[in-house]
Amino acid sequence: MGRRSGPLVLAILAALAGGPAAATTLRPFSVRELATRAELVFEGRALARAARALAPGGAIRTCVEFEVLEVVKGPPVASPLVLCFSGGRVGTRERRVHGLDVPEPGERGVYFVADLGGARIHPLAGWDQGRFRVREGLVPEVTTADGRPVVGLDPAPPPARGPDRDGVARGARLGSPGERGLDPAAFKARLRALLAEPGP
Amino acid sequence: MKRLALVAGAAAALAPAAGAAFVLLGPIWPDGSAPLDVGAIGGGFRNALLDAADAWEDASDFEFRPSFGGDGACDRDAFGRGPLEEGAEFHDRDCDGFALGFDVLAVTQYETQGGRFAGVGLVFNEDLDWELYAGPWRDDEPEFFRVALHELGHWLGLDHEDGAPSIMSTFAGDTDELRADDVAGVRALYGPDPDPPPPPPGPEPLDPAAACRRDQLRAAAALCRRELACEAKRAGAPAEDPAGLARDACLASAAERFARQYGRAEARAAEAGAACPSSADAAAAAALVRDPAAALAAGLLAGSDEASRPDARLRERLLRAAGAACDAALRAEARFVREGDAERLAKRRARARAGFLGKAEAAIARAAGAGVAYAGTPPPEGADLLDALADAVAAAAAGS
Repeated sequence: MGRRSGPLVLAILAALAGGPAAATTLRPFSVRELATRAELVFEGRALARAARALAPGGAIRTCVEFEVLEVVKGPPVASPLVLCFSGGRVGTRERRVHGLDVPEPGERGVYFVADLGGARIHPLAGWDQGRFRVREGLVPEVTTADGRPVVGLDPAPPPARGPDRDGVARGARLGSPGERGLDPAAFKARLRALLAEPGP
Repeated sequence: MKRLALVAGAAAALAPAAGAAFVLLGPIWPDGSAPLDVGAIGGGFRNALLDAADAWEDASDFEFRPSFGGDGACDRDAFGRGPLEEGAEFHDRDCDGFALGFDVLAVTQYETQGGRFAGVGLVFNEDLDWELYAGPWRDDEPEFFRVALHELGHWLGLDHEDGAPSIMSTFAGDTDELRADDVAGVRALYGPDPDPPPPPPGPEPLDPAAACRRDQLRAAAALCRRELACEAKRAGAPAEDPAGLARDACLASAAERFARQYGRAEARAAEAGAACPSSADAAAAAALVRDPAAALAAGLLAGSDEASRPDARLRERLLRAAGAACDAALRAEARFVREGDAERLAKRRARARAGFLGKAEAAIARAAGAGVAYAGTPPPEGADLLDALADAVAAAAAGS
């Protein structure tokens, strides 16, 4: 009891605290759809992030600076590139958007940016569906946003869905436990091939 | 007593019942009921939203208190931002003014105070081709009922649940009803329904020609709502679109979608070896909506002062109310195809008309308080135009 009361008290205090929040429902997409809709697809690394209130007492945005390592699709962009997400914490004020996970500094990945000019809730196309992380190591590998290895990209994926597919764009083939994900160069090459194929 | 319920809710967030996977947001409605204004949602979608509320009520000892007079999710300013108003609406921005984009179906925003909900607003993305249907999810036609069911789960205090079959999955899909985990979640918050109703009988399938007529009427409803929403968006923030280019693009996009939906309905009927009864091709059917809707928009905008914020807000409200009423009237016609109940059709049509009149008169009175003297089309004349539009479209869809 003594060991559990700390987190319990924290949870109760969190529930008692006031503040604005939001929760969404997202559309599922295939990798190909996301890549086609995205204005920019780039490999990058998050350098820094900071939250700011747009007005006193108003909405909060968390902006992340990305070092652009390579543009896979879209116009040349200056590096660092800044992408802003809804929500964040400024001082004692917090605004939560459920399901919106802002990249931490140090994260490397391939990101599908929906719209370079727009003030969207989330800058990435399909939210985490348009975010493929690169797990660093002796041989880097591409994973989904939640860390599952991506072993292939299918141009015409089946429509099947289920809880195990949530958060992952269709067409991103997931590896079984222990299997290695594609290396970033192979992933980007397959993405370019996907984009070069004629549409359905 | 309320304090006890509050603490119990917070503790449940830490540890759901054994065997359940649901996740709680944290805040709750301590008295087991919540307001829900559906006044800004038209016809069939309004009924679907109320059906979704019923489903949650049937699963638990929770009660929604529906009302029909509000403006929607929030009272927006020139930037599209505004305080939450316990309502639902179609819009392309959330209540902080951020674009929903092509990937967000809907967003529920809420304020909390001391562990309880202090304000809620629900925005459905107006840029999508919403439909109502059972069965597998269609990516290009999001299904309204199951998304409403999901969002009302947030309204009650449930968070996303991606580890078990659930309507609360982050991503919309084939689940179109509450699953065991959802029921467990809402019961953990508010207890079981003391008097559950018997399950309703399922509907008979429509013959292909009737289904085509219904689908074309739904497409017309969406076109009318979208066209008036395009006008409303510009009317509410004229400085952002001084030459009306964004509005024109919005109108063109609405027309393209209509043509696609109209054609799809014809193709589905043809696949089943049937012909649609409509006497109008897609272009003629679109004109039956576009011309009177444009005339109505011009009338509601007559004499507007684009430099006046209260005037701009009034025109936006009038146009959105007209869009909701037009959508409601045409969706009533679509439901009539299945039900064949003239009395219910008349009631729904009358409700659509009354909804427009009520909202328009309230908006004009509110603007008058801010010094705006409205000199556009009087609301009863606007309602007549909407009725005539719906009559003409329904007649054409039926082949007369």
